[in-house]
Amino acid sequence: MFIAILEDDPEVGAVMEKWLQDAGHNVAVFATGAPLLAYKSLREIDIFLLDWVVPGMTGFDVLKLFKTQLHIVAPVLFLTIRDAEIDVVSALDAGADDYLVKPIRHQELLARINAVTRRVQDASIGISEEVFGAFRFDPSGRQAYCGDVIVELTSIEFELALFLFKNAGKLISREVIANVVWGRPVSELSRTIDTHVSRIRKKLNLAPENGYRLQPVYNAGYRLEQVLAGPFHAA
Amino acid sequence: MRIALLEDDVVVGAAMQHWLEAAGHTVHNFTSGKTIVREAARESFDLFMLDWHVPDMSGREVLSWLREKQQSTVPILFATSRDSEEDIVAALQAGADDYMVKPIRRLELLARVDSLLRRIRPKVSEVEPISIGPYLINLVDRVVTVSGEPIEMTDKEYDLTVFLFRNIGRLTSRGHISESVWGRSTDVQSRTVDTHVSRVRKKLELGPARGVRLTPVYNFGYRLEKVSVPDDAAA
Repeated sequence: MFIAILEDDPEVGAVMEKWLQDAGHNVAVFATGAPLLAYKSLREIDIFLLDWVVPGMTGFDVLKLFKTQLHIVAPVLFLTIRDAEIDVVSALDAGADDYLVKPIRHQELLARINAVTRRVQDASIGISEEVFGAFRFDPSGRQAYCGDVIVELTSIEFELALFLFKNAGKLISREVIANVVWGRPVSELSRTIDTHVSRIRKKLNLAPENGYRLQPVYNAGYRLEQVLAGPFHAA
Repeated sequence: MRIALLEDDVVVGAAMQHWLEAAGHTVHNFTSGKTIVREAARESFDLFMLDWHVPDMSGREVLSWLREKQQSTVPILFATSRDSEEDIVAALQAGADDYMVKPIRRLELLARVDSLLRRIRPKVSEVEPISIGPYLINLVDRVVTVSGEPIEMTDKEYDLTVFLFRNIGRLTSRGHISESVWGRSTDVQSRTVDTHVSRVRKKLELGPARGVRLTPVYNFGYRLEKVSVPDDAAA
């Protein structure tokens, strides 16, 4: 992710920059508000970490400009020594997504950044469901449907089914499935993939009468094929 | 908003319940992990607030259960006396959206709850009309129009319509619906909810031809969702 830090203490700024870079993020550090607001890539920033008290315009002023004038939707975390309840409340009410009191702890900062990002992504995928013939996948509720009937899938089954549907017609190797769905090498999974595939085939009733056929390809992987057949039947 | 609170200290629980209810939320108080899990399996909530140390199933276990089995994107706020960085990181990584260390401050709690709910449902306004497809709900005059035609409705039907459209994309339980439309004190039978839903469905002609779908979920409740209108539907 691309993270902007507003922090006037160069030592603190450098430490946080290192933590975030080590965690794989790109970081831009600003000591005052004006250059941050004028930053050419301002709208590409994924998350802002704002100190409250910096020379000139405060972090709180920056937050208010984001929300009222610039319509920046990226999440904002406050990192400040101000620990009075009224300060926490005003920052959150003005639109901050989290508020941390200094000194900031390394792992907590990373975990809170992840939590905020996840929340924002969950909210944005809200209603964009994927439709494939009789089958529908709603990523926000992790809910799958065949026709109007809800099909109960576990989280990993949902991922796997959606991945196969998105790649319908293609031969998908077990290596790719292991990587994309489980995030692990295929050697660690042995029969897991086959078990899950057979489970989603059964649960979703992936059969020609529902317009799809799920084919194992010997020594290679799987292929989900669309079958142009008669009317759909809910399982 | 409807909040499920897990807190085994009755005094602390009562205080937090009072704070949240004074701010306009409804709070369901649970003192053990198993009771909140049982309820969450058949009822929807807008937010969960979890203590870590509670009898029979820890808040941490409840958190994992919620994220894996149920309501995977519902906001979850941890409120506990455990303040070590390891605990905070573990809870956030397991899917908590925010983490507060006790003692909890009243206004900060309310501000953090609002911040979480804002990300999930950005547009909870009392005056801005709700507009989805051909539907327009004027909250000031309490009038629903479909393609400009006002629809005659009773007060309860109108309230139910507003509830369903505000929760578009989410699965809501019968208890959640009856609490928002009829209030918590009245004992509304689930048949009454079903009757009203079916009347609203008919009056508003909720269906794919109008870009929405109202799905009943067996033994649970309803979900109103947006669907893309098929191209040939216009012909």
